[in-house]
Amino acid sequence: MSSSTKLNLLSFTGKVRALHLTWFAFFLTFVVWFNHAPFMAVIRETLGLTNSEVSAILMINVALTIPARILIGMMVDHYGPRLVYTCLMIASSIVCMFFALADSFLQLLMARFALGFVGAGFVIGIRMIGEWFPAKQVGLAEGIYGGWGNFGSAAAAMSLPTIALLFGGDEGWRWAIGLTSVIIFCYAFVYYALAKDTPEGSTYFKPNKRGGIEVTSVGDFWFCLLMNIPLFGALVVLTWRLGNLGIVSDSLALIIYAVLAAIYAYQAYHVYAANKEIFHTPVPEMHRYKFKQVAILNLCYLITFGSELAVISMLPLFFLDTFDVSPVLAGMLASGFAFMNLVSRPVGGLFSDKFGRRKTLLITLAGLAVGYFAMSSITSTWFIPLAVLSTMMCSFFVQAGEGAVFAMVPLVRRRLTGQIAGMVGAYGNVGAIIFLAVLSITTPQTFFLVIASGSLLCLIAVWFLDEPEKGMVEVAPDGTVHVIDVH
Amino acid sequence: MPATLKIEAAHFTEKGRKDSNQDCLGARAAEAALLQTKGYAAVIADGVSSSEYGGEAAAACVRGFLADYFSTPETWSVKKSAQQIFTALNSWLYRQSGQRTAAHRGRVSTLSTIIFKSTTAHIFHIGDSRIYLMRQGSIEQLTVDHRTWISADKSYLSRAMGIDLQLQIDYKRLATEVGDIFIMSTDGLHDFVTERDISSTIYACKGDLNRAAQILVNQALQNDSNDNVSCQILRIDELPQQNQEEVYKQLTELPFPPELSEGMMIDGYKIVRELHASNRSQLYLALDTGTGMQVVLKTPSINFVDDAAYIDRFTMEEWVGRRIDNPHVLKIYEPTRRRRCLYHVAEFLPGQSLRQWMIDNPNPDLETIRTSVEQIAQGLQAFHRQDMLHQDLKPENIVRDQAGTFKIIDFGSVKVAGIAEIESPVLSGALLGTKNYTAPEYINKQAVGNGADIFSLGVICYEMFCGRLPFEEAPANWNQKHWQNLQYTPLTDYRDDVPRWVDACLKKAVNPDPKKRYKELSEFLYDLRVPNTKLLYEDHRPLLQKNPLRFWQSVSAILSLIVVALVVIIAY
Repeated sequence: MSSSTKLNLLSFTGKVRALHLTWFAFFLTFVVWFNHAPFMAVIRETLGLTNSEVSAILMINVALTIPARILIGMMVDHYGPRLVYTCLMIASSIVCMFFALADSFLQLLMARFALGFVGAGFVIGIRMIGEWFPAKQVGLAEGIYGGWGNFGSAAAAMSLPTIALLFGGDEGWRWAIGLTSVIIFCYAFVYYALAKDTPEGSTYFKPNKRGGIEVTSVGDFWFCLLMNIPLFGALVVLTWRLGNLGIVSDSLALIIYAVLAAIYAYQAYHVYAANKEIFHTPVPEMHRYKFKQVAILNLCYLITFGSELAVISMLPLFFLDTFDVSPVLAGMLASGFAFMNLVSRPVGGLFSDKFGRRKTLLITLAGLAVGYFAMSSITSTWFIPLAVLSTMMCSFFVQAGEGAVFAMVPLVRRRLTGQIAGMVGAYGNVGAIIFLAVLSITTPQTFFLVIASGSLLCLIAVWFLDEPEKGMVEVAPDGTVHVIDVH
Repeated sequence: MPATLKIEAAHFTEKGRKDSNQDCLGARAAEAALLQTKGYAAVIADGVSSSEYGGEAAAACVRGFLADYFSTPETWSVKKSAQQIFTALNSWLYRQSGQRTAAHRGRVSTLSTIIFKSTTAHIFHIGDSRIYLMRQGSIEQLTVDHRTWISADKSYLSRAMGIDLQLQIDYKRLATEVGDIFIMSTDGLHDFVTERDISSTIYACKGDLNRAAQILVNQALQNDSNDNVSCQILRIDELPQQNQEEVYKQLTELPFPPELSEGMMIDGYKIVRELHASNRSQLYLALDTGTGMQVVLKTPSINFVDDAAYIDRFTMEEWVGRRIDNPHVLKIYEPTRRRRCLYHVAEFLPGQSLRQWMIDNPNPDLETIRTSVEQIAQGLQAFHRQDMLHQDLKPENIVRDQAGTFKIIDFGSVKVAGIAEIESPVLSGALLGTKNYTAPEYINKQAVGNGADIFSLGVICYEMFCGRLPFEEAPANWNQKHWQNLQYTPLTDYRDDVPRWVDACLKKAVNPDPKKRYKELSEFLYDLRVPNTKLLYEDHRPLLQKNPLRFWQSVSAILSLIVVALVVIIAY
């Protein structure tokens, strides 16, 4: 009946064991999800792809993630995180191997489309961590899970080009990607053998409501429906873009639009079903929350995580094209962007606890706007270390912003944390699609400029964010707990 | 102030042509503190006129019921409370009449009762008195007369209090509405006044129930009623309709305590250290600076700060704990100082959980297990006597203290029958229990009774013997399908020193079908001590599985006989 108050990360028992096993699973899914990024230049050459085909591959890699999140969420409810993570890893290993062996643009495209599913792995681990950790540690644990897991893309960018070199030749990339496929396949079984869904003997309670997110006023209901549109709108944009590139035929595009509309209608119905009472009985005053808060956090995550996903997809290629360096070096230089994840995400969470959520968000958004403006001005004349330094500076603010967003999510409405986190997370993918679509039409310089101006718009939105109220309990210096009467 | 139950009552009774009035009636509301759990009771009884002591019997029924009902435990359901009283009254009446079977000499009475609790009317009825409901101008008879007609004009009472030790009472529940009028009458009234008369009279009196009662009785007398004439009218003026906002306000009156750490003081409790923290709650060891006693503080997890169902269950846990006083159940202390945040205080039990004990003591002997299980069962019985179900018994929720006493510790999932009846705007999350220990009827959504706790205890007992579960471990999403092909592994597979009758007893205790399981803990405990030959199933398995040694011995014996025979044949 004892548990340490501090989180001992060196241990490998109980909840810490669950954390280690799970963050590493997430890490590997991220490696697989972005293992193509450092090789896009080589692949472009060996298979003779055009630039627009390259951008199509980058885009399609994040497309399926949005619907997959919904599906994976339902599967976790049903089968538990352990089994779902295992299956996801095995499935992604097979698709990844398919990508390693692909020898045409269409095969590459199909493999990357299917790999979009891997991006939804995040949802599974969040559920797992929530089951294992008490309230006061869950924030830190999820920070470690998210931050260390996201580091997977940096690890891929840093290590895979070298591995490819070791195998040598033009086909080295196939060996490197194939290797990640083998690793994740093996780890799936390790995970299944060692992980457990819940601590020994925990009591299960069925959640009151599942499905649509709960809102507390009629106005917010319409607002929520509105905010659901971009989730599918992003996919519409993507389909349209792929249609432009001649990858999706007109008739197929129409079918996709119809399917997306149907899914949206289904989603909207669930939101209605979860909220139909608000149309006749108003929600008690103390029970209300403002959906505006969720909407603003959505936008912030769209800018931060969305731009991160987009940038780590294109950065190796960007360095390669701009500075005319070797692919290995380009990968190494680009990994600087995701490298910061280990510290900057937790720092964002820490800062917002200390200095206030709203202020931290304002500062990080301003910081990343400056950072992206700086990146937009990178040219071949730049001193390379300076260029790397500016990407790292920019990524620090990007990831600190992500940390700050997720530090605020539980404070909007505790009970709805899971659902709000799901929606905010999905907006991250929306951002990735939109920014990559922008990249496919314009130059990298414009792409960075668009993100920078987007963050300025988001800055204005954050201005309207309400700082969450402080608790009504305070602890005096001598240790006595004071409860402030508010009645 | 939230609306409470408000009922206007009036009654009138006349002896009529008889020498004495053998009818009796009455109504009473619970004291304010108990109004929510016990409600309002109205009774009417008609002592059988042919018997000498009919009047006495009727009076005993009405007075006895009204006195006893409000002293039944708050945790009991209305049905259980009423049943207990009816049974006691009936056997008292039956014994008083000297067990004479003839109705005319005994103490026999009809008895009809309405209990209003929350927004429900519970109706108990035996005999030929009646209860009518008048709602929105139309009238309906709610009870069935227990009368057998032997000719067109002659009938006798077929069921009543005091006739037989076997008591059969009609029970009915009904959702009430404001403005409902219930009319209770004896046969002296309703045999001489029609339903239409009743409704038109009440309608004409425009809410003056006293006058209506009086008019109805007089009407019956005018129509040549030859019996005592009584009637009681009740009108529901207000229902305890708690509005959501009020309830949430009450629930969130106390804030959640902050994260506590060593040395902090909270309402006079000094935190010594954290004992345990999960995603639902935290446990701290604390020193009560008033008494110097070591106690445990349980605080709710901030994860649920806006979850009314969780807070409701958290406060319920304390309510339950304070109503159970048993050496095998953890004590929850009454707060001595004003609390300024939400937590509860329990006794500190240094010791180990049953889980740890099982790890430290593999293969304990039969007697050790029996005495341990008996202790846990005594704790469980304390719940069952209060009409409560524990619902989440598992080795993690049982502690063995330093003196070796087993105690049940967690009440977070307890179901209290008497509370479950009260309508609440707080939606409670459905319990799914703990996998491997929760009875299948929770998953199959069947009726859940004491047997569910017996299942859990059976699994625990089995596990104490051999450290394994009686069934294959449930998957994470354990569901109906899992329970459909459940195979019990005989305990004797793991421990050959355990008698077969003990295995048979455990098999019955963990039977997935609640109908085939033990109904009461005492039966289970008895069978664990005394061999129950009825349970000893025939072992239909082939000999190879049942006793491999014997099988191979026999095979070898036959083979060697053949060899000997062959040798003999060849030799000749």
